[in-house]
Amino acid sequence: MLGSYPGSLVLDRGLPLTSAGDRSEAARTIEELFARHHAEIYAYILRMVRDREVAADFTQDAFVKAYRAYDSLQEPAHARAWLYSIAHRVVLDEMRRRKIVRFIPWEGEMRGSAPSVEHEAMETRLSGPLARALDRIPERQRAALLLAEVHDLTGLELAAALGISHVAARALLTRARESLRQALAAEKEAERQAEAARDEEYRSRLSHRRPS
Amino acid sequence: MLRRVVGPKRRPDDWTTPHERALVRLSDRLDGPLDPDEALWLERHLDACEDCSSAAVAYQEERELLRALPMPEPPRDLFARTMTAIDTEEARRRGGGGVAVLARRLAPYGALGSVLIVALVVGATAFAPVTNIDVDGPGPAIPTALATSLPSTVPSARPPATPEVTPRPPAPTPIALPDVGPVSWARPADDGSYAVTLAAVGEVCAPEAAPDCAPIDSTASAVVTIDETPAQVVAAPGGSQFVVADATTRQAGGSIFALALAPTGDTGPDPSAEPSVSPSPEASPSLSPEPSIPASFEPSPSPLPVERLAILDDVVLVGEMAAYSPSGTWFAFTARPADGSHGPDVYVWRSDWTEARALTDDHLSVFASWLGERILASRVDESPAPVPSASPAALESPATGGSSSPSASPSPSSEAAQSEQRPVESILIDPESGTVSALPSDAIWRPSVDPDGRFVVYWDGTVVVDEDGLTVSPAEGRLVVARFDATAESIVSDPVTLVDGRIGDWDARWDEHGGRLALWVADPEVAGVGELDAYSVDPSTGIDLNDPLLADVIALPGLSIGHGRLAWATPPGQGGEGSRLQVLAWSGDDAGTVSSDPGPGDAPVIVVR
Repeated sequence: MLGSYPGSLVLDRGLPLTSAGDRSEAARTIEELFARHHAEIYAYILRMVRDREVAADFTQDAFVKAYRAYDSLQEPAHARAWLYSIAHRVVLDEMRRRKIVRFIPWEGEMRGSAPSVEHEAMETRLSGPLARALDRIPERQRAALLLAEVHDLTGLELAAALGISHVAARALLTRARESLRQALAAEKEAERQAEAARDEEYRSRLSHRRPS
Repeated sequence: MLRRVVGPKRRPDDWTTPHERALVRLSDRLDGPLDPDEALWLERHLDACEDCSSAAVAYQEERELLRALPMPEPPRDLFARTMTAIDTEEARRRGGGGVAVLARRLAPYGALGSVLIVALVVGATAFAPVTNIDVDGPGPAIPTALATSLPSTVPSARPPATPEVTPRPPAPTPIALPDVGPVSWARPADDGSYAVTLAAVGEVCAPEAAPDCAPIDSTASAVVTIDETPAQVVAAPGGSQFVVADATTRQAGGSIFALALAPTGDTGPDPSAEPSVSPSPEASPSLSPEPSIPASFEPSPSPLPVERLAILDDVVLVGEMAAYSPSGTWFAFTARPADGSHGPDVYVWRSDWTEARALTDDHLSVFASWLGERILASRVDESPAPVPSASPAALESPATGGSSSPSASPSPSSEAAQSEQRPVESILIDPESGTVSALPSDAIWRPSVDPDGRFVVYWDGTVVVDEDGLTVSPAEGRLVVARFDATAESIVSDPVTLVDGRIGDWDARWDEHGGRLALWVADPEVAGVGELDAYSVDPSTGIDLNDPLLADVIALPGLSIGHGRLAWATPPGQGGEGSRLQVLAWSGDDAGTVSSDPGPGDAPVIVVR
């Protein structure tokens, strides 16, 4: 079981070669699942990829893949975790395939996270220190945190969505919380310094104006 | 060939420090009540430890921040477009798409050695244009430029499997790229030997018209004939010498040998000559990178006489990294003994030596790349594993040491220690003097630095050593690229992820100017194939990973990059055909692709690196 990491380079390896028989049922079921869960799936993907267009594309991909993998949905009660697991794979695989939001500048900001175009385009409400800190932590940790804290997946659901064992999921979550703590602290420190620099500038302007 | 990567087995109840235990418990506490003993321990620890109690507050704040994230509104057309995509998919399946689906599943993995699968794919191609079939799976060998310009590759817009190949537009004007160096590859001959062929790239075609481009002229006779099936063939700069690893070096153990061509115009080697292989590297050492294959050449009428010298016997060749140094003086590689007595070491061979010599003796070292004439190697840190396999905490209270929901926690396993994630380090070895120095940065595995020393691709994470101590595989981490400072010999930027998650082997190579990067990553599940990406490196802006020259192309291991072209081999079975040499060539703003005729049967062609 260890060693078969589902977020691999290749999608659809396990695509069942179903006969043409019961496809409409699959399509109908996926449509129902879409109605019920697409908003949260879209929200999860958007929080991972941070670009609305890409998130919409990936959501579509995820549901098409869910349709294709319909036979692997064994227990309707687990449909939600199953959808998340598909969405998670789409995000990790497709992020790698499309190489989104990744660019090494030759000059300029090397250390720290420079806001990308996508980042700037984010809802302003979202782009506080939290969003920047989330950006700094590894993708899988970010996924674990979002799924657990924002999307309320618990225990085995979380493990299923991440495609890893229950123990590994807990360990990932632990690391994620610690990574986020450090990233948030770094963001706060950066903000504090920026503020200090502004204050300093303000003070120096004031002192220039003061008649001697 | 591909090792199974063993997952992290570090137990959740192994603590390096009480603080680590506290952080884990703080996290666990957010997900469910702790075991009373553990909760008591935690409270006591928090009272005494300021940092941990501030972490407790921070974790709570994190939770509140995350839960306050606003819920975004999905686009209005998302339902319609998703349902359209599903309906299209359904129509395709009903309309005889089954063959296409089957072909798609099989085509990229066709038959390294499996006649059955080749036969199936051949059968399938009779009904569907397999070469262009997939877009959302691993995909056939189509450059991105092609994928974006061919309407038939748009996922759901494709009509239900058209049972024949669409007539192609008239042949485009081929682009002549005179400055591009030739390509060389080994192809199977009828008698079981392999012929090393050298051919000019000549003309290429725009990717969307590549099938119309005349195949690379491979009619010229072999430069060299290799009697056994090779696993890897590496040409020295200048092209007068090759190192060949025979196919048995993949697993059972085999021989690595050098073939030296007699200088052109010579009457051939003196049969009584010493076993040292000519030409001597001292004769014309050049520090500037030379073409790995001569930039101009005359096809020779028949294979040249060669001298053969076994440089290492009874070994398993590890990985795809083996390479000549830029001057051609040295050849470095990783190998381990075939008898399984110990793990891999870095070897180096100089062409006036009768055999290769081991540079390391820790048996857990691998060659990574050349940094000038020095070897970059990586080794597993020998210091004790960071986590003791039996920690006092675990021994004292096994019942409370586990998870907060004990039913789901596996019992501690004694094997855990053997596949412990291990830290790594990278070192620089001067093969001339044997001087070893460590790179200052930690956790760098297999750095591949470009010739100008500006960028480095490496594994940022830990590795695991398998239970018999023979193979080292990436464990937790990611494959990244970062800026490098060759003077400081260190990494000077935050790494940017190339591949996240579990991977097996990979091969990252730069062209001679550091202007192009090719990255082959082994498929984690199917042995012997992988995906190839290529990027250009702009001296003024860096590497734009959003704009690859080549993306996710299915390729066999073994690539050759430099002198204006990247060459790789497609697996047999692509489109029901044999394996081909595939070339992406560029010159100025012009670029295009061209390929060889498919090789016979299911034997793969071998790119000469």
